[in-house]
Order: sequence, then C-alpha cells, then structure tokens
Amino acid sequence: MSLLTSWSLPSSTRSTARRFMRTVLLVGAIVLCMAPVTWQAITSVKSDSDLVRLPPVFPEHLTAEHYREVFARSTLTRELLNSTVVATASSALAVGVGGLCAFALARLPLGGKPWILGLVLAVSMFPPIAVMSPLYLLVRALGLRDTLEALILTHTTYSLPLAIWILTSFFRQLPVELYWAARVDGCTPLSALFRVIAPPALPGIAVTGLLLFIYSWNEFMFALTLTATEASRTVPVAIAQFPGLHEVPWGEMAAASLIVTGPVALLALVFQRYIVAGLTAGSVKG
Amino acid sequence: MAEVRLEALRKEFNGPDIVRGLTLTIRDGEFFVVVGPSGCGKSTLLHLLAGLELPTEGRVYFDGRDVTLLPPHLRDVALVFQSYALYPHMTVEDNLAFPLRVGSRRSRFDRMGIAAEVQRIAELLGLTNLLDRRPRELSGGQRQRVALGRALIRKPQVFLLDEPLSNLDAQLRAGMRGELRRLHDQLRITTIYVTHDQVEAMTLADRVAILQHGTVEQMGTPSELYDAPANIFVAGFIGQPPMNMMEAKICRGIAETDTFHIPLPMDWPHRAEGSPLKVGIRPEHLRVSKSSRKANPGMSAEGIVRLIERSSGHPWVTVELATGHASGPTLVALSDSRHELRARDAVVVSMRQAVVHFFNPITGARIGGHSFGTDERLGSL
Repeated sequence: MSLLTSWSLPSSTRSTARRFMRTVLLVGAIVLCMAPVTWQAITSVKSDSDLVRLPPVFPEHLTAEHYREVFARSTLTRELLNSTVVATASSALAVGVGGLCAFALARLPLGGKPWILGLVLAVSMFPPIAVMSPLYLLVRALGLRDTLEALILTHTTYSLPLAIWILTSFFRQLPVELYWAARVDGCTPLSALFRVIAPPALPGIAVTGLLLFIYSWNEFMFALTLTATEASRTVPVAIAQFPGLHEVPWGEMAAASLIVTGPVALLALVFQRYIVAGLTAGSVKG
Repeated sequence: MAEVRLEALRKEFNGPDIVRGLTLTIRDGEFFVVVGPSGCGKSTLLHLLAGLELPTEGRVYFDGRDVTLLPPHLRDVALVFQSYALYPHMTVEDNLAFPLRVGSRRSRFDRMGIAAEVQRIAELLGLTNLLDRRPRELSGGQRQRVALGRALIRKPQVFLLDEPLSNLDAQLRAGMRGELRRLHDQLRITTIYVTHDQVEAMTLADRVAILQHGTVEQMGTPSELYDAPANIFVAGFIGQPPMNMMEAKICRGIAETDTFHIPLPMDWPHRAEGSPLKVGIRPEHLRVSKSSRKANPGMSAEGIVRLIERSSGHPWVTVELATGHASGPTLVALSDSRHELRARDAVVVSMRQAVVHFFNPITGARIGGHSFGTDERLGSL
C-alpha cells in the first residue's frame, strides 16, 4: 500500500514512467487472474455449435441453456448442499479445535511448544496421496464410506495444522497483559479465552475459517476417493464426472464451475473487511 | 485486605535468578513501593504475587494462608498493568463490571448490584460520563483511571500496580500520584506498587524496598532511605539530583578528598590511617556562592560553574572543582539564591549544613550506624 501511494506522489517524468509501469503490472496481474474465469464465463453462455468452432469465436447469441441443463439434468443441487455441509462443518470444527490448541500454545504454560508446532507442521506436509489407501481402508472399516462424516473428518484433519498455526500467531499478537488481566480479574483460562482473547481476535478467526472453508470447498482427491454416490459427492467431483462416454459437455461444466465459484466469491466479499483487519491486526495497540 | 509475607522467594528463568531469595512482610493496609532500575525483577515479583508465574522456590502467604500455588483467579488480588490492558472490545462500563461478572464473584452480585457498584466506582474516579465509551476513544489518563477502577471495584485483598503512571505525561503523572495516595488513604487496601521512578516511591510509599538484581538493597520508610542509605547504590538511586560521591582517604581522624577535609565522627568504627573511603554529600547540603572569601578552610572549595538547572525553586548548579588536574571532579550543589549565576562563573562550594555519608569503597556498604550532622563539630573547629 505505502509503496503504491509513494509512487503516485511527485509528478516528475520519472514518476510518470513509474505510474505507467505500475499500471502495466496491475493490468497484467488482473488479466492473469481473471482470464480463465472470463473464458469460463464466455463458454458457459455459448451455444453448443459455437463451442466446437476453431479458432474460438466470441458468441453472437448468448444462451442460458447450459445453466438450465445443469440444474435440470444433473444432481448439482444435492452436491452443492453436500459441499456446503462438508465445508461449513469441517472449517467450524477445525477453527474450534484448532482455536483451543492455538490458545494453549500461545498462552498456557506448556513445555516443548516449538516441538509441538513443528510436529503439527510436519503432519500437514504429508501429500494427501501418500495417506490415501490407508485412509480409505480406515474409512471403510468405520463404515463411513460414501458419507458426509467421512469427508468432514478428513477435511478437518487436513485443515487443523493450518488453523493451529494461523490462530496461534493471531493469539500471540494480542498483548499478553490482556490474558493476565482476565486471569487476575477472576477468569479461568478457558473463560479468559472466550471472554477476552477470542473477541478481539475475531477478525483472525474469521479469516482462518474462510481459508479452511475454501480449502474444503475445492478439495478434490479425498472427495473423489471417499465418495461414491450423490449421497456424499461434493461439487468438484460432480463436475469432474460430467464428461460422458461420447461427449464432453463444455458448456455445462463451465456453467457449473461458475455456480460453484459464486458462494466462495460472495463469502470473500462479505469477509473482506475482516481480511484486511485481520492482516493488520498486529499494528493495532491493545 | 491482607498482610503479605514472602519467604525466601526465588524465581529463575533460563539463566540467572530474576528474584533471589526475597523474604519480606508487607503489613496489612500498607502502601508498599518496590523501586529499582529496569530488569531488577520487580515486575516478576508482582507476577509471583498475582499467581501469573510460579516461584522456583519459596512461599507466598496472604494473612498467613499459603497461596504459593493458588491460580490467579482464586487469589483475590487486583493488578494494574503499565499498558492498562483494558479489554478493547468492551465499553468502559463492561470493563469496570467485568471482575464482578466472572468466576466465583459472579454469584455475589445480581444485575442491579453490579450497576450500583459500577456507578460507585465511576463516581469515585470521575468516569461517569465515559461509561459507554470504548478504550480506544479514551485519553491516556482516562484509560489509567478505568484500569484503576477495574482493579478496585471488587475490593481486592491485595492491590498490585505495575508502573501504572509511566505512560502518562509529567503533569498528569503528578496529579494521578496524589489521586492514588488519596484512594489508598480512603480504602486502606494493602498496596504493592512497582516503579523505576524514585520520586513516585518517595512521595507515595509508607515503606519502600529498593530492588537490584533480584535482591532487596534496603527497605524502610522514604525518609530512612533518604537520610541513611545503606550502600552506594541506594545513595545514588534515591534523591534527585543524585548524591555527590567523592574519593577520600583517612588521615588523622579526617576524611580528606581532593578539596574537602571532613572530620570523622567520634564513634568511627576503625581509623586505619590512609585507608580509602567514599564520601557522599547530597546536593542540598552543599551551597554555591559567588563570595571569594573562604568560609571554612577544608569545608569549602573553589570551582567553575558548568551547568545551571532551574527545574525547582532553587537552581541546581553543577560545579567543576579546581583541583589542579586538567578536568576536576564535578559536584552538584544548591545555589545560594542571592546571586545570579552564569556558566563559567568562578564560585565557592561550601558545606553549610553538612550531612555527610561514608561508604566502604570496595563493598559499597555504609560505614557508621546512621546519618550524622557535623554541624556542631564544625563549630568547634
């Protein structure tokens, strides 16, 4: 931020050149980020005949047919619901459990804190594919195959290390005197967490929850392995299974992708204020 | 309200002890100030008393009850932090009411009772029109008063303050000092107040303990510390401007510095000829005047004014003594207000109402049981 504002201060030739460079870079970054989404958006409103033309053309007739198809012919509604349940439950669980861990690591007299944090980080370094077969066997043995619970548990497990790390640093940023004051004023450690530590750390907690929600919403590999039917299938898996034996329904897939991106983008917008507040939390004096 | 007793209290972190075997008793209702330079272990001492940290060894008793291992929320102490540590997400009213709403005290107060207590404490501290504000909307002094109110509202057994005034500007600090003493006289809660500012210690305390490297250098009433400092550290720490220190040698019952000849008291413990000695004289016991006539040979010295500080009614004058060396030792003395002095004036420093302190130059310990004036002995010379 400060870099950008300092760039726009003087109006000499040098600063004009700088401003030009800045614009070019910004536009470049935006194009890079938005191009795939734009492509999808255009694809989703092209008619089937336009879709297969090479080179690709900008459609003359826009159609909402693909969106209708997605909801009429597929089980996407059910899968959206599944995704919502899994993402909400797993991010809430991870923030809840991770919050308690993080509080203990940040404030309670506990030996070997760096070791615990290191271990937590090490766990999250396992590539998911490495644990896939044992995990599958475990889930089957528990009788949880093709259930939402299996996905919630798995996603929570994989979200926890991130939750613990982020929340620990958020709790550590709050002045330790706040916790001490609460203890002296009569709080047990747990009530100090809920009454005094958590409320000022709320932006951080919200950001963490959002990150974990997005992770779970987009997660593909566990969802593919542990689900079988629309009883527990999540949206990324559903979209991946759109292609049939003889055709790839590009239009429907694009439409479904955009529908799926919607809720997450909306959440990010709602939490935008918190994200900014969360990122600057340390600069505010307690 | 309680008597606080520490027994051989010791606390070590990774490394040297922060608190080294403290044994002391703070009387019921006393205003006790712990003063020392930063890093002397005074904040750690408060944390041990509040239960925020556990001692490595030793015991803490409140009214004879062993509370060494009791967690903070069961101790019934209140602690005011240097940074105030107000709860940022609560209004002033909620901050004040917080101690009554949590833990074991919750049952003692209903909604009306809490409102009444908040009102009472807000009136006591002049916070009535600020009750719906949040801490970030308050000035430093207002935050300070909220922090005090939050600590006082539940009438704690022991009231702990950790440098509560150091974040305030000088004028506000003087005002709050008076306020704190008034509050204590009114409420008579056993108070332990930690500061690095010896002025606060001297003006507030019933008794003061001077802490250095985790041990008590001296403990006593402010005037005891001022009149009879137990060692060179205390002598230099208490008093503003600090005590003048000079090297001396014993020579036929007289302590000879480069410029002064000070007769030793009659009850002098040992009179080994030629043994070194440190002589301390407080600035207010030295007078600077322009008169060239020496009042008392050996009891006055010539010098040159280097610095004049007009912070108080009488200006403090820093004088470089003329000893024949390139740059002589400097003394701080009180100006004889009859003369207007300027830098580089030639002056005479004389021991008018001489109260002299003697210290062992190696151990730093005070020599001689208590302070003594040499006035009457001067008269006989």
